[in-house]
Amino acid sequence: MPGMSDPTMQSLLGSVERVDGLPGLPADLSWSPDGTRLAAGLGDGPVVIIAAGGSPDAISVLAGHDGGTTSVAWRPRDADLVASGGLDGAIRVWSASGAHAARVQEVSPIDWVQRVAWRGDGALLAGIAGRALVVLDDDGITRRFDDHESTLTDLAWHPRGRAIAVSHYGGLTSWSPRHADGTPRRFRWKGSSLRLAWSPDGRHVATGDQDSTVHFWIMKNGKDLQMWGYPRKVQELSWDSLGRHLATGGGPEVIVWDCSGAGPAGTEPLVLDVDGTPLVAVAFAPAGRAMAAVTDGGTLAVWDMRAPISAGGQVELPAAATALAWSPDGRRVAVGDAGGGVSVAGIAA
Amino acid sequence: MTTDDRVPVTVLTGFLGSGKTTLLNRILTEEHGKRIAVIENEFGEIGVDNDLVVNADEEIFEMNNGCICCTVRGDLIRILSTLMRRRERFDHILIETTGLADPGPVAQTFFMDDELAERLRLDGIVTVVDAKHVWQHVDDAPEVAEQVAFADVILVNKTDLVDPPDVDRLEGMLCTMNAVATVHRTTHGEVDIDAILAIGGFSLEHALEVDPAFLQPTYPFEWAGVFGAGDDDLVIDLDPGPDEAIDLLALSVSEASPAALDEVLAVATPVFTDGPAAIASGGVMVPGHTARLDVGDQGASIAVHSSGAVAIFTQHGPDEFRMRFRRGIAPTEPAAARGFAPDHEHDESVTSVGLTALGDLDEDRLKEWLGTLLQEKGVDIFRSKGVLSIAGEPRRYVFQGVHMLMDGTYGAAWGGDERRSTLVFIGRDLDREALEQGFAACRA
Repeated sequence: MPGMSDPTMQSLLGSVERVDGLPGLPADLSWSPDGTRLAAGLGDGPVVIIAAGGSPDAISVLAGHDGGTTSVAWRPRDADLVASGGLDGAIRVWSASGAHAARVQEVSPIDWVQRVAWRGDGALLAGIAGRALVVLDDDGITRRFDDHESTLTDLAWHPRGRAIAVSHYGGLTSWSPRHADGTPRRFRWKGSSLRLAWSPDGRHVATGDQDSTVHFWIMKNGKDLQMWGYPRKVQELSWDSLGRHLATGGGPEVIVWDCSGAGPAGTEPLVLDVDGTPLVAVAFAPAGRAMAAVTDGGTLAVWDMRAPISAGGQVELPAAATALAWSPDGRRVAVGDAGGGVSVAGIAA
Repeated sequence: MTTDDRVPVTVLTGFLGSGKTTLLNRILTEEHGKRIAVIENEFGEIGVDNDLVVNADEEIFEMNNGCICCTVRGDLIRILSTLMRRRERFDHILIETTGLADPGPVAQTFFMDDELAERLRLDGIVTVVDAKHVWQHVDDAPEVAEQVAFADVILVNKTDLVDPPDVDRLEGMLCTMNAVATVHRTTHGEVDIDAILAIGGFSLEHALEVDPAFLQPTYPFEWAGVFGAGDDDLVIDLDPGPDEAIDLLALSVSEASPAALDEVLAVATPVFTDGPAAIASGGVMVPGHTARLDVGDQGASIAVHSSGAVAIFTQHGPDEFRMRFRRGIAPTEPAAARGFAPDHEHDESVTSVGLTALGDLDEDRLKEWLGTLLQEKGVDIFRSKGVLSIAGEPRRYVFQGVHMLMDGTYGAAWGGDERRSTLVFIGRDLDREALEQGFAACRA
């Protein structure tokens, strides 16, 4: 089902090239800081390094995680190191060039690692497994926070690295890794929070929830705001680079909230259609004005957020999308698909 | 019909020691060509030898969905979503639950999560029962009754350790609790794999296979007899009995035969409970309407205004009021008669209630009744299934539900088939009479 694109629409999309034949479905994608390579964590286990400067090309296949890789994160300011987590309950740090062996950190004997994320300066790596949040430095685990009442579903660093927020059934918990005996801040909501995103200005944490709602937590005072009416559970969230707009999925349309001024309460969000099938991911470019979304129906859509109704573009992928990631300069976007491929689309300046 | 390419999921429940893990390992080692992923609770009895085993931690989440509150298994949502990223690697999923797990949240998970419902289909719940030791648990562990109530298939396992009459007794008890489950007797969990992995217990097409005959229904009357045609009215004479009054119903039948009696039984219940009209001795009963005859301490007589073959249903057995029958003045006997045990022999709290009615139901009243019922009693109704004939609708309405959650659709057309509605509820402390009355009130 191709999305009908308005012929008068200014197309943002340049060429789209795809590498396929990967040994599994990309569950997560992460770009190298210089935008020349991509790490793809596959649901079947391996981590694949893809050269993405020109036509995408798989250059090495790393063992990854037995049972499946859930998360990959290229280390900030580092051309070589990629962290990954997976069903084997371990966090691994790989050398993309194969220059040295992977570092392995066993986190849990029974629970898998759901997500790994580096602090912005690349000095610390956080991961979640079961009810535990762990923080690693170059020597291994430096902090372990086990005090959660249910399994952790997502994690995000404060944009300036001051704290780590984790989501779970019952809301959010925020930890400060600098204080060994730090007490956490609890943000309670009687529901199952699935994903979270910390706004780049640090003011808000948004969560997507199982009960088809989105929550905005104001971190300063712990107040929250709930947005209803989503057709499905919300697992797709992205802040723009200024922290003003939040794009959400939770169904076939991208819903964009304006969180400036008094916040999104009572405001009308912008609603953008793609192809009528459920969204798999939405993401604002880390730089520039573009936003992208991919769907289960296999469409990549991009919008120029200065004029989202009239400027953008869509392209059909060969299979349902599974992951989405912007290059650090916002000039290219990578999409993983259920056909075992990764496409890289150029974005017109 | 489009083919359903969703991955089937089987839920395996049963008490600790019932042989669940032995069965699981049998399934995994058998040559069936299926690649099976296993989700195991962390307290598995023994390890499972499979290339894909994931540990579940039984996290029960409450979910609010408009006016319906229910519980789901958050861990399963997370695990199954992650497993679906390995789509090419398996074609069946087995979920083993702990011996103390309530199957409700597991089943509800498949109703409540769109992503899972689109990619997976709950094929059935299999409950393993230890034929020897189940008696120790059934009264003091409510989980046993729940697991039996939820089951599509019950394996009565370890039958080699028990005498056949005891297995019969156990099977009788299981049938009372869950009248629609298929029961297999096994030793060491030896059972045909398709009996476990291809059940279709939650498929709406299979809801069409609800057979009211399975349900051993109880009736609001204790006796029924059919009488042949005659020139004079049929008269019933009664002596004083244990009650002041007795409810009686006459229904016209095509012939006075056992078959005709069985045939008319299906429609008698709702009519019988449908608000009797008081009649004094010497009055006349019209076929099709229930009469409440005042017998008092003098006895009474009542005539049935019908010269054709007729079936009589009485609230109490004939001997309790020394009932006699005559045509005019000539005494007569029923051509066929049946007694029905009153419905207070079992005090098990988990039972099945089957309801059936010939003809159509009124859609609005049905929705109102079912909606209210599931809202108010949904906690105690574990499973429900039905095939309904809605007035003015050429197709069968089929539905199945778990607690308050229901999934329904229009299925095959009635065509020339006799239109009838059949419903089954399996639950705890079900008020059969109230259900029958509520259902009867939905008739168009």
